[in-house]
Amino acid sequence: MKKRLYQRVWDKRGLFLLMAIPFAWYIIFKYVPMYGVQLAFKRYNPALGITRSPWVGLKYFRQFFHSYYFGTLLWNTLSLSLFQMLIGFPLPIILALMINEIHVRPYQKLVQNVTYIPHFLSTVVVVSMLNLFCDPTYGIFNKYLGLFGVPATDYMAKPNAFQTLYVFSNVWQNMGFNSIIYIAVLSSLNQDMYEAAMIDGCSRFKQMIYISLPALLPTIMILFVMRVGSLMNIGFEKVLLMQNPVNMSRSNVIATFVYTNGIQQGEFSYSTAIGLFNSLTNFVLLFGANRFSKKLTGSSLW
Amino acid sequence: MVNVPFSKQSPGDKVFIALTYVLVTIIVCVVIYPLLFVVSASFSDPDLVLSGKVVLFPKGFTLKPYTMVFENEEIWRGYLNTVIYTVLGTFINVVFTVLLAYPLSRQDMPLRRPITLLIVFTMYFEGGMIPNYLLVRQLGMYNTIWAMVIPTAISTYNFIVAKSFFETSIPKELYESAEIDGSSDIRTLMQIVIPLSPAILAVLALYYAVDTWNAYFNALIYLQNEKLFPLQIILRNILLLGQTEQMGSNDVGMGEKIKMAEAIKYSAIVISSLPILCVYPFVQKYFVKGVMIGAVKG
Amino acid sequence: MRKRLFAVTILLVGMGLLFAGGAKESTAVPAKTSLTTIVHASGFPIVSEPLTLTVFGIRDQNQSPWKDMLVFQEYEKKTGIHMEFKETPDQGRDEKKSLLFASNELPDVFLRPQMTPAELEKYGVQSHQLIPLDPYLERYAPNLNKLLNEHPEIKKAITSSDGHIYGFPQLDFSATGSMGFKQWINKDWLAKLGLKTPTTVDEFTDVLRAFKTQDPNGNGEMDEIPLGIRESSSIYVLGGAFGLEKQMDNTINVVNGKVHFWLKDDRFKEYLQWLHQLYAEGLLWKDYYKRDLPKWRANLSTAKFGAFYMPYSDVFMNVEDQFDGLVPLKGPHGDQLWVDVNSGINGSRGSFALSNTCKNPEAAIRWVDYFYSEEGSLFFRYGIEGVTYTLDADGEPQFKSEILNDPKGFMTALGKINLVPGGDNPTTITDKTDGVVASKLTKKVAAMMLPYVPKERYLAPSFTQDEMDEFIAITQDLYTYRDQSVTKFIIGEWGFDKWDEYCKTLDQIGLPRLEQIYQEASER
Repeated sequence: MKKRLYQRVWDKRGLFLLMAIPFAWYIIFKYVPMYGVQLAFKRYNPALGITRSPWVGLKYFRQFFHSYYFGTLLWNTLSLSLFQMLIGFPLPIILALMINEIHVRPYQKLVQNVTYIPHFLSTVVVVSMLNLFCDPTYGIFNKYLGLFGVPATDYMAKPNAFQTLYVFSNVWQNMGFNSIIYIAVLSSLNQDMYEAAMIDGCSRFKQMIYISLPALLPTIMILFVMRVGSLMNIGFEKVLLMQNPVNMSRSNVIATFVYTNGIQQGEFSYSTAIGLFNSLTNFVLLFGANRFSKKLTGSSLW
Repeated sequence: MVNVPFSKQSPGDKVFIALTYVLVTIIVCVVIYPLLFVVSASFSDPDLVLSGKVVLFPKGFTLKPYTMVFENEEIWRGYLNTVIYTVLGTFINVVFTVLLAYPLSRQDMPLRRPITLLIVFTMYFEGGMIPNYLLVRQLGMYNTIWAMVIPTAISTYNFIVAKSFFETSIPKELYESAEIDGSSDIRTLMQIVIPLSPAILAVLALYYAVDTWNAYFNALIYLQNEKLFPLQIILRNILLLGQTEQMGSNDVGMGEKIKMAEAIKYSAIVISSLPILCVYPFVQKYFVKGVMIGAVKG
Repeated sequence: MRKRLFAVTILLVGMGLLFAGGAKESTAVPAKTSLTTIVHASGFPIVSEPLTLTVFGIRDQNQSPWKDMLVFQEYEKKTGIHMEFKETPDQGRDEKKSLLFASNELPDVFLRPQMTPAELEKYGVQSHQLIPLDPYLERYAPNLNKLLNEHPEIKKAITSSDGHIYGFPQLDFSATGSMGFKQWINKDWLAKLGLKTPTTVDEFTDVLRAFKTQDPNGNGEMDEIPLGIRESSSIYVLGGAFGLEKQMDNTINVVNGKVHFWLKDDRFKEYLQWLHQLYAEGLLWKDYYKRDLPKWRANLSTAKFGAFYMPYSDVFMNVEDQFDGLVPLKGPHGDQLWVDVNSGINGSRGSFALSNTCKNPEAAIRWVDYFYSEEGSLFFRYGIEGVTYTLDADGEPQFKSEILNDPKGFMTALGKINLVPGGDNPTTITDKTDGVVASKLTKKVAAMMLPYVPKERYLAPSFTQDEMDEFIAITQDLYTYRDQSVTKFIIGEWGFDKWDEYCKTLDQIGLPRLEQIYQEASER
């Protein structure tokens, strides 16, 4: 017969004690600030504080949806995120599959170690490298493109180049590191399947497609769902660093707008409303993607 | 991995293998080239760098950019601050995470599911920048060291990894026998679980250390005293905002200064990234294993 | 007993929530007026007992930490008031300022916070975090009061929508200061290439072309930058040649008593087309919109620019002798105006303000008022006679040579003494004291251009609270859109086929309504 709940808790009081401080941290630093979400529905007056500031209902949401930049922001955010996913999601998988086919151990290790390195560089460093490389006078991008007759341009100043720069520098930085999970799964696979396939005369390529890839599917789906759930949270810090007055038309995403408008210009309520909109959209996407994954492969986040 | 010598492969497979090696090699080159370039440029004569003559190897070898960086007081202070934040922060990070993950990894833990859900939920929903800022201020942490280590004490993602690790690598039997021996849960943690988990500790430490080392946004919002600025903020000033030293505005040597300012960027990048890259090989063997175990179940 | 630990844990959690939630609001407690400290209505020291006031402000790159500044240290001895400086560096200052107000943990005094009218409105009129300063003017700020009464248009300009004054500006009555940017041209280059001084827009364009292609600095490289404009907001500086004035601190012409925003006018389109042409031909500094101040200053001091716009020559003092002023150009329709004029206020609307936590506003007001007097302004801008400056034969103050020729740069040395680098301070600038940054040449240039300023100068009107609300809501988006569009037209990212779309969007954001607001406010 199962014990009563409080009895069980008391039995395991040691565990609860261990957990107490970190859990309290979660309450304080994650849940308490949530009550600040009210700001989205109030006209914030710092002198009155959050609780006593007056209610204005959906005013800020309406303001946002009617603004002339709503469409642009939404489009920038979504398109950047989709682009990022389209390119950045499959590549680590492909890399992992390829690395798995490298049977020369030392070389395999070398490849892995080299591709992991960029992940450890800071965002500030990576963005400044981008700046340096894009410089029309001495940047290496222009140098090499110049060999093909492309005129020297400062790509950081071209709105249309922004997304490409962002996505591909992300790929450069994280492709290796993100492939670790997949490599891990692959290396833990039972080799019998491969042997059997080989005996059957299956080519290496076919083996990769029909054995390796399916084995990765559950992991892929879970990671995919998690990715979709943060679709609207495109790498805020990096975008902020890459933004400049000229490429704003393409580089301004919802998160950075919340920052520049909310914190720099002091429109706290307005930006909280937009942030809330962002989170809610994420949720909807998350639920949707999880449903999809469940239907397709049976694996889901919960 | 089945090891069949290349020569014995079928022609189709030969092509496949060759293609794979070529592609991978290209990838390696593309990944490594910018890094090599930056390192080379940092040792090269600024004039040559600025006129685009440096391609892969240093030209006009000079240590001037490095000496200039070393002379910059701000960078040293930023460095010191970052080291402090990283050491202190990582310690707090790992302790907090383990203390949270261990209990929740135990199958016999009551309320396990709801509490975990509460925690994971925070990955997708949060109060926003303003309430967080107000909280930090009210707790009196604004403009102090604590603003750099406490608000980021636990990363939910890392928590999940740690929890999965404990779940999969500590067999239930171990807990049962420990209980029979009369060991309290706390002792079990210290004396059994921890010694069995160097891999996950290394992984956590590495992940957190890298995040703290590279962090700049928190400092931007929570720190006002320049003496507390971490390295990344100083770097941002130098690399992205072009504020190198105090440019005395009617300095005759301005052109020279501009040149050096550009050259400094490369050496600054190298200097700031070096520590993490150095630590990395040592932790590498642990963390790959750790990630694998954590990830497969996560 | 068994339930105890569980209950305790729940209690801890609950307490955490309660504590954080409840203690969250630090409400504003309006400060009571002076306690026991007696504030003298005149003379020094200002207070009978030592007084400490906390200060927030923005520190320019060239200024040293405020607590180390010579002027402040001296002033503390004189006044008996200790200022506890908690200034923030220039980088990230917008964030710091707005977050400071959001948290409601305010200092007593705001010094050089560079407040915009919108901020004064928001934090003064609406949230009452700043207190009205006008009640103290007569009794505790005799110097400033006198100046404001002599110049009622300035007083009106700094009054917010509720009739109160929340911020003191920097006053500038010097002849040189009445003009913002001045036009400079490299006379050495003109001479070298045998060109005559341009007087019209077309002649100017030709001269710029010559600068670019004929290597006037003789170093064998085409590194000259013919036209230097500092940043996007300065792009209107040549508008006078096209009849585009800057009345009321905005892109406005006043025609027959009517307020008119010329952002959609054909004249403006012509102006932008001309600038675009300059940009496309490589005559306009290609990085002008990047707000790269260090690069700008570097180019100035290495004499890379052929023609440019600066209010003072302090930044390029070392190469000043290569330049001379340029009379405003005549445009295609015969306009010849210089529109970048100030009207007594040099800088933001608020270089000094007090928060509602200040327990001794009288003392603070007296503290700042001294700087508006002649003697105080001299002290503020030059320091101590005999120590940092001497009076020359004309009775004009001159800095000592070790400051002027400091190896780290004049501005850096000055930054150890006072807040002048970066400007925007609560003080008065007169012809006598503007020499800090205005060299003799600058004054000559200003005099040259003075005849061409618009005859009538209109200051920005004061808005009511409702008008202010609308104003803020519209201009937030309008200014951003305007700036981005103008930049795009100039650098060629948008062709002029987008002109109509641009005009339409301006209307959509609310330009007509804005015009109406200005009109109504100015008629009161």
